[in-house]
Amino acid sequence: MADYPLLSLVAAAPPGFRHCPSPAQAEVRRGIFALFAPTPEAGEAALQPYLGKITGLLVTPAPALRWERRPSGLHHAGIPPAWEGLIPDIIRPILELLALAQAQTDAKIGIERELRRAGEDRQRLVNEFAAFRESLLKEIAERRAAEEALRESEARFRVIFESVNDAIFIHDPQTGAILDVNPRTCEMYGYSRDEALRLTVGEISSGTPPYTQEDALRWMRRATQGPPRLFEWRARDKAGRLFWVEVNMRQANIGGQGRILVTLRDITARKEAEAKLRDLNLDLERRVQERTCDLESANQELEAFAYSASHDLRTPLQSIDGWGQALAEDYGDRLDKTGLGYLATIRGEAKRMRQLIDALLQLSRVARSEMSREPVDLSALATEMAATLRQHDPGRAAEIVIAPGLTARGDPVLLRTVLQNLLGNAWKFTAKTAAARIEFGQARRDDGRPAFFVRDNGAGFDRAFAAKLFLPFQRLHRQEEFAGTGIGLSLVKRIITRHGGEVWAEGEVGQGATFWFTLAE
Amino acid sequence: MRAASASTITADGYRAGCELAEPLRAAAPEVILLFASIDYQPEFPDLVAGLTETLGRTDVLIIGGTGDGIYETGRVAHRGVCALGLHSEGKLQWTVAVEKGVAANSFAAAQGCARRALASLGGAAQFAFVLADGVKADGTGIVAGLASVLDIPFFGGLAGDDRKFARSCLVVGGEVMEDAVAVLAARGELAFAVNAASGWTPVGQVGSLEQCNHNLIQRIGGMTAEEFLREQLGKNPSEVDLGIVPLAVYETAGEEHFALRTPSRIDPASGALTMFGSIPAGAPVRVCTASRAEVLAGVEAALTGVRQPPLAAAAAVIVVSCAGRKWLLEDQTKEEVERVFAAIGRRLPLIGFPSFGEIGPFRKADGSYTSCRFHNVTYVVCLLGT
Repeated sequence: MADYPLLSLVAAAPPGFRHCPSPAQAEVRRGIFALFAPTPEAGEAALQPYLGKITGLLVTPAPALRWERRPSGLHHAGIPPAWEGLIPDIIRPILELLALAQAQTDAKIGIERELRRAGEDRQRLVNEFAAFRESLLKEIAERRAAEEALRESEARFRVIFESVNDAIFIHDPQTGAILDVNPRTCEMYGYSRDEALRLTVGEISSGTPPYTQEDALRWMRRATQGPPRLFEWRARDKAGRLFWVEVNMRQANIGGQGRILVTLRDITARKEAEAKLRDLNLDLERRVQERTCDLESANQELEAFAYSASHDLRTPLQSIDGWGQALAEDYGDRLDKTGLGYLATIRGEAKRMRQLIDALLQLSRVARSEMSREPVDLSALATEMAATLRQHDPGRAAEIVIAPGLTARGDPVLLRTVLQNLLGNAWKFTAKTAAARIEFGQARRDDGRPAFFVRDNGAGFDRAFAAKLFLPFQRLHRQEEFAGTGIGLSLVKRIITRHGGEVWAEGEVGQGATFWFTLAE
Repeated sequence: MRAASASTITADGYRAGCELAEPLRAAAPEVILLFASIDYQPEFPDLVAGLTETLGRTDVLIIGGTGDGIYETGRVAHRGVCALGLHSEGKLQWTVAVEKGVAANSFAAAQGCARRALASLGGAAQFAFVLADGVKADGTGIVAGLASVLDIPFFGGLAGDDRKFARSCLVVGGEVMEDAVAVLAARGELAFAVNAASGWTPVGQVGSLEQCNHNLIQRIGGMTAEEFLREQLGKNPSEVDLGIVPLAVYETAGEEHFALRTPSRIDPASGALTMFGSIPAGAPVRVCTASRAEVLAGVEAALTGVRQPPLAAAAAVIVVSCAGRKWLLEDQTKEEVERVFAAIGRRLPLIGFPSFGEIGPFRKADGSYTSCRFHNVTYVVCLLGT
């Protein structure tokens, strides 16, 4: 049985009680106690600081035995003075009961708190379970959606797989084993699907490098490590027939697994067509070469003939002119005016024919001569030409404008001939123009490349005949109007062509003309 | 070193204090560590009064705090109060320092507290145990603040409540306080070993924390924090993963040791994670996983660290486990303490509490320590010896 503090506010304490006029906290808060006081109120006053936190019994003298619970929470036992000697025995069961009650209260508080915590934990678990359930449902929904998407994707793939006109193989990326083939593969190779799934890639390849099992596995390794591979392959069907296929090999996720997807297209017909085309091209090239040789030979013969003919014609012409001169000198006094006129005509035509022959010879020489390539100061050449023209015709008051600093790479002799002809033509065709103006310069064409030009404001030409300008002996003006051989522009075109350039003309009748030319860089 | 522990679940503070005092009386404690469940918060003054009056001493240093339950040699409970009395037999000078204002600036408060403790001991200390308000303090800031002053391995934890995250409090002497950090420090000859371990294993790729705001983690490894978790886990992270999928936080890439950070909230809109404690920007992190068995094995790992190399003689055990571990282990909570007893026997007095964040270093095989870290879901154990 526990010992409970038995305290007394009054000095004359009952048996077992200790006089304690002012109980300390340690005496009344540690557990159950009894306090002997004159009145309950006096006892409560002494315990005032601890009321509400203590459980104890106030013992007071009373006319009769009584027991009550005080509003302060303390218990009160009134004991008649006659029984004072029995007080410890009387109150002990009460103190035991109070101790039991206190222990029960402690336990109750503990249980209440545990229950509260359990309730909170339960609610938390409910909340967590709800969150988990929601999360799980969401995950299930997402997974179902993903599975549905996968099923649809696989269904689409299967339709394509079954119906496409290319052979399709699905390989294991690790071993290279054939895991699936489509119907077109079976048609192409002549194997049933079951047979195809037991084959190695080497067995459906030509078997000679670089079309062996090892080569195929090497391609697969590359495909697993990088972008799709496109290459041609020499394949072999069940009957041993070799044929060409174009292979597209890539890694792919099929049914959630990493696979190698290979599509094959039979390109045998294309390869045969390519071979035929190659043979045709070779034949064509050979024929063009032969024809070019023939043409070159004929051209050379023609050039030689023209040169030879022109050269040979010069001698009788010189004789005609010479004999004409002799006739004029020795028999001129015996010829009447008409005869002298005929003689002058004969000599004039002979002279003109010699000029034509000289021009032809020059044209021929241009084609045959060796050509050099060096920097040429075109502005200086044009200035020189202009001076010569003025010297030969000092009475002309034409304005000649030459852009300075124009240079090009080419043969200086041939380029001199070009400028001589173009400036000479401009000089000639501005003879009847009041304020003649001739210009040599350079301008950018529509495509941005530079071109040289010789421009005049002379007679011009009908643009309908512009294409004929550069043909030999084609003249757009009458001889009486403007003299000439009709060779000059042919000569220009041939020289410009030999320099890798172009020449063309623009003009209108009475509006002048512009001759453009370019030279290769 | 003399030590004794006690615990009670008596609700009345004074009587609880008296009950705790009786077993401690033999140790004549100079210092008493006190851990209690949050329902004792209003009882602390009476509890301390009962304790000191029963001991008959007013000069005893008392430091304690609330947690989500108690661990004591004879009791592991949701609610109750436990105490450890220590007497250094004249070998130690003890002090307790307190600083308020952890909510505003955890680093500065901890720094001030450590300075105060050191000043009280004449500028040097060999031992430091720390408690801070676990609802208001940033554990990372607390550790950084202490480390800026203390050059010794210190340990402790953040006070908590019964999983409501509503309030936690410290008790120093008879005063109950919130928004505070307290340090128990000692100067003199004190042998102790402390170690932290969790049982979690980092998996997947290391990501660098690129964007954060205190404990709000926004971007890791070029993606949102949620995307990082999803990529590493291979599934969408959800509420159910919050307590069991922590991040391993390294001080430097490739480091063996790591502290854990547990997410407390996922913001699906921004992909940000709210963590129990901040992580320094730029820190390498990895997602961790563990089974219950592995979590329990973390206790043994922590004990291995404190026993190798061994102390000459151990006098008491202090454990700071995580409330999150308790929630995760559910009915296996007692098993943590049982593992301790299985390793070191039941003769040593032991107290501890489930905290809202653990503080401690990793002990190396040669007995030296790493820097002190702030942990989540981790077990910190300290053997006090002579």
